[in-house]
Amino acid sequence: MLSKIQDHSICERVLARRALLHSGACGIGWAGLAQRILQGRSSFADSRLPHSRVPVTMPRAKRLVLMFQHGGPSQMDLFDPKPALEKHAGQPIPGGVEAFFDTKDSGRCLPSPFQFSRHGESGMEFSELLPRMAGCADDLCMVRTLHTVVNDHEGALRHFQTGKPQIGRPTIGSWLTYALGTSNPNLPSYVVLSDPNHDQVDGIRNWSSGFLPALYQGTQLRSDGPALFDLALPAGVTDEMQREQLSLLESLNRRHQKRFSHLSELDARIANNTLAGNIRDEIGHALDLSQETAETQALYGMNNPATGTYSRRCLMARRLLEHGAPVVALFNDSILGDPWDTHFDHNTRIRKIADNVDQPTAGLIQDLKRTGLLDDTVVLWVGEFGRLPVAEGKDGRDHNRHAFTGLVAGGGFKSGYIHGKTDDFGYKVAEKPVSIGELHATLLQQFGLDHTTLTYPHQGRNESLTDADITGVETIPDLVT
Amino acid sequence: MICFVAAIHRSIMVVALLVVLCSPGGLCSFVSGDEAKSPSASATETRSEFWSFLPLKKHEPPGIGEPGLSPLDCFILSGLQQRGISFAPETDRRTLCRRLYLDLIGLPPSPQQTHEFLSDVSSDAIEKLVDQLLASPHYGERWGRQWLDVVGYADSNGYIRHDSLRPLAYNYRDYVIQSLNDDKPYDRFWTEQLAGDELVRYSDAEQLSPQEAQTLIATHYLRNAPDGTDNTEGNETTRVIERYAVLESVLQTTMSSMFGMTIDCARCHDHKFDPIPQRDYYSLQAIFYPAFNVKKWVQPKDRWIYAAGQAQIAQWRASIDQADKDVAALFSTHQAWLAAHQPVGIVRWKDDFEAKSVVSMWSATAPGDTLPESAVRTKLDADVAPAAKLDAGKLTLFADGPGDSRWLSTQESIDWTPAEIGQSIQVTFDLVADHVPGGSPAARIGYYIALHDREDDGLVAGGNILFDGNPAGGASLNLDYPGADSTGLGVIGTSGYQPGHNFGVRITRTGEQDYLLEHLVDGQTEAKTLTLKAEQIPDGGFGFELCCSRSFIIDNVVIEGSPEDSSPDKLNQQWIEFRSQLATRQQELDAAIDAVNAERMPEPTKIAWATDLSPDSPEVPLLHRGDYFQPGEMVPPGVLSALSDGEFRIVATATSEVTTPSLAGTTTAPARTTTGRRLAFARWATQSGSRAAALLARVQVDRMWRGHFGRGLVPSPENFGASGVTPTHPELLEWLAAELIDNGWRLKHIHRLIVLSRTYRQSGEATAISVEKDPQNISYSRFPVHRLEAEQIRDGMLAVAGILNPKAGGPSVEVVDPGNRQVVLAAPSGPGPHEVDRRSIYILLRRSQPLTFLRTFDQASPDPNCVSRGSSTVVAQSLAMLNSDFSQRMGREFANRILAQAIPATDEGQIRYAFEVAFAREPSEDEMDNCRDFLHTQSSHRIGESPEVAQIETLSDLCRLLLATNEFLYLP
Repeated sequence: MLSKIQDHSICERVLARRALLHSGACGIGWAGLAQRILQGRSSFADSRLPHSRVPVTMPRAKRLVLMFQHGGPSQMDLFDPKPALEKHAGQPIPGGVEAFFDTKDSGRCLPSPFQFSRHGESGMEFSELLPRMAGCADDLCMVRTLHTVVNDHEGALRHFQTGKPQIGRPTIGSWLTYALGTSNPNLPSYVVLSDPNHDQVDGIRNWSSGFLPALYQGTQLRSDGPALFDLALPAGVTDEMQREQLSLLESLNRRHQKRFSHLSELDARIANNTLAGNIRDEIGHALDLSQETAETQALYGMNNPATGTYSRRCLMARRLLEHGAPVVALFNDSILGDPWDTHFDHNTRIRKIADNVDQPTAGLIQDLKRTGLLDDTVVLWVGEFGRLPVAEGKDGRDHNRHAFTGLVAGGGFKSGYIHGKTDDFGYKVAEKPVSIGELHATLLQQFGLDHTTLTYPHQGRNESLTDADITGVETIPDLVT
Repeated sequence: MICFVAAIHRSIMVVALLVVLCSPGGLCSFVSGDEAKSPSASATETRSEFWSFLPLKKHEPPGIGEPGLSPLDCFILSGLQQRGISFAPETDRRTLCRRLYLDLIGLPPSPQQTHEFLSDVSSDAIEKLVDQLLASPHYGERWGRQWLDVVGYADSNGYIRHDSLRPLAYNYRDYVIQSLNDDKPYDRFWTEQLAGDELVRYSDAEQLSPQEAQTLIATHYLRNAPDGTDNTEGNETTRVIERYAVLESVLQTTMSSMFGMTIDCARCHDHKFDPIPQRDYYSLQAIFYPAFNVKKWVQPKDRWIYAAGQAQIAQWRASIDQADKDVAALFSTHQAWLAAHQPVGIVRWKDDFEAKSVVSMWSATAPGDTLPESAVRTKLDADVAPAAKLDAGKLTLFADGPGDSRWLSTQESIDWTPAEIGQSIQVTFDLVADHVPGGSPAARIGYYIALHDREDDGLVAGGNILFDGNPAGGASLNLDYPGADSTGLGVIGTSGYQPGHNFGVRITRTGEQDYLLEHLVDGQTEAKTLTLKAEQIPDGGFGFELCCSRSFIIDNVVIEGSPEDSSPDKLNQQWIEFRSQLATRQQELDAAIDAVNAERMPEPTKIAWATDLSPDSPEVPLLHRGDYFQPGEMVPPGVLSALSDGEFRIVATATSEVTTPSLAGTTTAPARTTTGRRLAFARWATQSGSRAAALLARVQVDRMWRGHFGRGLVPSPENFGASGVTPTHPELLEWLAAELIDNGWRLKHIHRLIVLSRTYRQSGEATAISVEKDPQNISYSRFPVHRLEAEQIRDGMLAVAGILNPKAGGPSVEVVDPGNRQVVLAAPSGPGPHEVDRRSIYILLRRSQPLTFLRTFDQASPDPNCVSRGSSTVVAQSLAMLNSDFSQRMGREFANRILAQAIPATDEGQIRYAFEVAFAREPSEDEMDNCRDFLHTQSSHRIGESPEVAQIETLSDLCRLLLATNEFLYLP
């Protein structure tokens, strides 16, 4: 755990309410805090409090890799074959569709030109666009009936990440690190690996801690150059010189601290200075891909230019998980902008994006499996919504919030299983719908957490990821073993 | 959007709907014009008796019987005595001096200033220092920052993908700073911000005084909310949602900053904890709705006026109209001359961008293009990327993220292949700037010739030849760009694309099928050429590429061909004669135009403001469960029923009040331009003796207390309601609030009460007993030593380094993202003072590009506003202080200052002086020893450097470490 919060009001209101009566609860150093968070399941546990983060069931998962697919992948070109579109090609769908853009000449059925085939013992269907992910069919739980509430990117992204489309709420990764803590205090517990060259839609809100303390926000590690800003030593300063410099700094700080021994946050700051000296090596080690064999690098597609920076980042994700970071959020390379957002030239563009994503995704799942990590790691591959079965303009596909497909692997989710059914066109859910809230609830359950009791007091309410009091969300038992 | 979405969600989930409990009459009465009604009885019934909703009750301070204590201290001491303890000893005068400087003006005292205070032995030395600091123009720069957090000020519109700039917003920032420096009464301050447009007669006033202009600028308060509607994509539904989002943010910001209340949940249902019925929410919305009428929306970029009276505006318009006419006449004469004398075929096409619009000659498509409707293409005459706009006779190209290749092409298709061997055609342009204000330098300057079609699927082969002009040198060529079939052709030229030069390419037919491409820089051809075939250069446009955030500014695009007659002698002769005549003509023309332009009056400056979009009083519906598409009954404008204690009266005239005597009685009643709702709201909120004014004052004095002590009397500043946290010192809060109102709402009065108190002047050191009896320092048994805010840290570093540029006001200082997502200020060169070394309040605050250093230290995120910052301790802060370029530069500058000023120039003298500058104290013996040893040991590591360099570098390292100490980062 790299940081701690010293906002007095948060201290007083939250920690005190948690009956965390150790003296100076707000002022313990990062290591101490990390230690307590590590022990959190016992020391923070207080079942009388509504905002407890006690595990309620045996956890099946300890780690999450979110492989977020920005822009909205097209389910009927990848996972959910719709032969009916051939039959109705060029015809409108009865009843029309809800489109995001008012584009003229839109709305006629656009069949997928990509061939589907069955894979693995489960016979799960994938299109030709994702040959390597298809090879993981028997490890995947394919949810064909996800649906969301808004049709704009930002709103739908926030709904997926935070449970509601509004700004200012914590992301899934923040809730998990709030509940789980970390096992390596020299690494951030919620790591974000995004395209080093471009910002994704909705920017840093994709890993915001919202109203949770900033301690729980995602830490963006860059995948080229230094992983954190200002890691490099000033020119002319060697490691040895820095050790001496930190030693002088500590002696000055310790003398100052004598006058304010009651202010334990000064301790945290002193500890952070030390960490600043150590973290370069720690992060450097965790991210040193040269320790991986050529075979492993090739598994992720690092020798395949089509995979861009994504292959590299997927391999970084596995190393970070191994080094004790419990949550890693991966975001796509920016390909022709927001990658899956194929409003025009759909058939050409989707191939390019699939080529970028397919091998690194399959590589990560296979690598986690062969290293044994997949059993207690959830891999979640999903976008903010899907795409429409009808054409936008002559050759595009617009947003579809009514039905889309997500993939889950590991962490006790069923494998080789397809959940639910969409209508003949793939426009809406026909059977077994899964809302984002239900997915969240089920995900938390796999971590041994109850979405109705994992709460945090904010502005007079006990807020939660799913807000079940209002939404009535429940878990989906069918998704897990 | 939240509740709209929640409503849909609920209906999908088929969960129990919340019962909407609208208390009938739960709203105070609405009185229009002369019609007046008594408050409805039910308003009184729903009014809460919760402490924060009550009128002020000024408590007498507890009798303590200790001399020299202020009433404030009596309240505090009474609490301490209940714990069986008393105040900590007074802090020493050095510490107090440093505390006051940092706290009141946000800058540490210089050794000279510390010395002056310490040598003032008069009994009122502290009072004099406090008065001096409160009178300093830097006071507003420190405390204005808190206000800007609270009201959510930013220099950009939000809406993260575009986040276009608000180039006029800084006027509001300066207004806030000036208002605080002037000690403008707080009630007046709010009234101007809420309804400045209703205080000043703008629409038909002949003159506008500077003071009136300031009052209009104040309404930019209403414009602080994120507003992405300049950049709206998507359908009508999206547009409605986005407009409501602005309106809701205005309301949220207003209620949280004025009353410390979060009323957002009342948008969908009655508030669960506070007496805020859903109806109240929409009554309040109706106050602001006329300025943000979702059916008559005006985009942010169009919400501005001239900071001038109508007479001055008319005079200016007349002057520019006349000048335009004169210039047009000069041009027309010149054109006639050109037509008569220009050798045939020389200038094929040109644009000097003096026109008003891009549309006449340029296009977002290429000549042979059929862009699909949905493609995001270059917007013409717009400044939101991807876009092209004319400004000051130049063409500015705004590029956004990677996206697809977008371009701006000539409408005209040009023949790029001269008919005869030896003939040539060339295109050139001036590169004025390689970035747009606020942007980073373009990595490449991209332009095309033979631009045929974007999709590259036409019948014409070849073409679409992209020239990627490299700042490091040369231009690389790509044929058939973009697309998979795009092929690289190689590089031409050697010079780099640096602004201030003319670049281009010349194509000369050198054989039956061969065309030589030569790079042109300032009219000269360069080495490294390429030869293409005819089929590779079809007819097509000339254009610029807009890609990958590569924005730039250009001028004078000229396409010239050699004459039909290719005889070298004749050609040369024609060119020579024409050019020499043209040069003379051009000089004469320029002089004539300059003379005309000198007569132009300068355009009046602009004010970004808010006002009602129409004087009609629009009806505002309650939205069923917050759903924008389920309007319910119409709700009249009103105020929070829990805070109402009288009639709410709206006088529906345009400008209900005349602000300056000069205007009084000069005209008859002006035409009505506003609904009067916001002014009525401001009057209601500030009316003395009212419940609303009581809460307004409580929230503000608590905020000021928070600024001084690092935490408030109310632990939940975002929530003064029932679900908030009870004040630690409720009677003191009441007393301070009453003091504010009783003293004409003067904020400096409250500052004085606080900083001159015994409570404030305590030492921050704790005794064992005070830690035992008051572990969290809830009772103020010592001064709450706390970390400085981001701006105090950065400004303090600049001050200590001796290079702070004290320049006040004006446009914000640009930031740059050097390409690694770290937002920094460009490294300055040459002697200072530098723009980048100005105080942090003047640094551009783009929502998507906050200065990384400040954000690392918890600078507020205007999303939409922030009533109280957090104070985190993260490793990124240590890294920033130890390793960042900024910290390194501050260390070096601080060392330079010491080398220049420390007497004696020995290690001891320098260390002593460094401590005085950084901490306003002498080093202790062991500190002196440690630092001296440090200088010695560290310089011995620098074996490869000369002794002088090693000394400076080592001293710089020491200085950087002093700035990284906790002592430097905390209010002492």
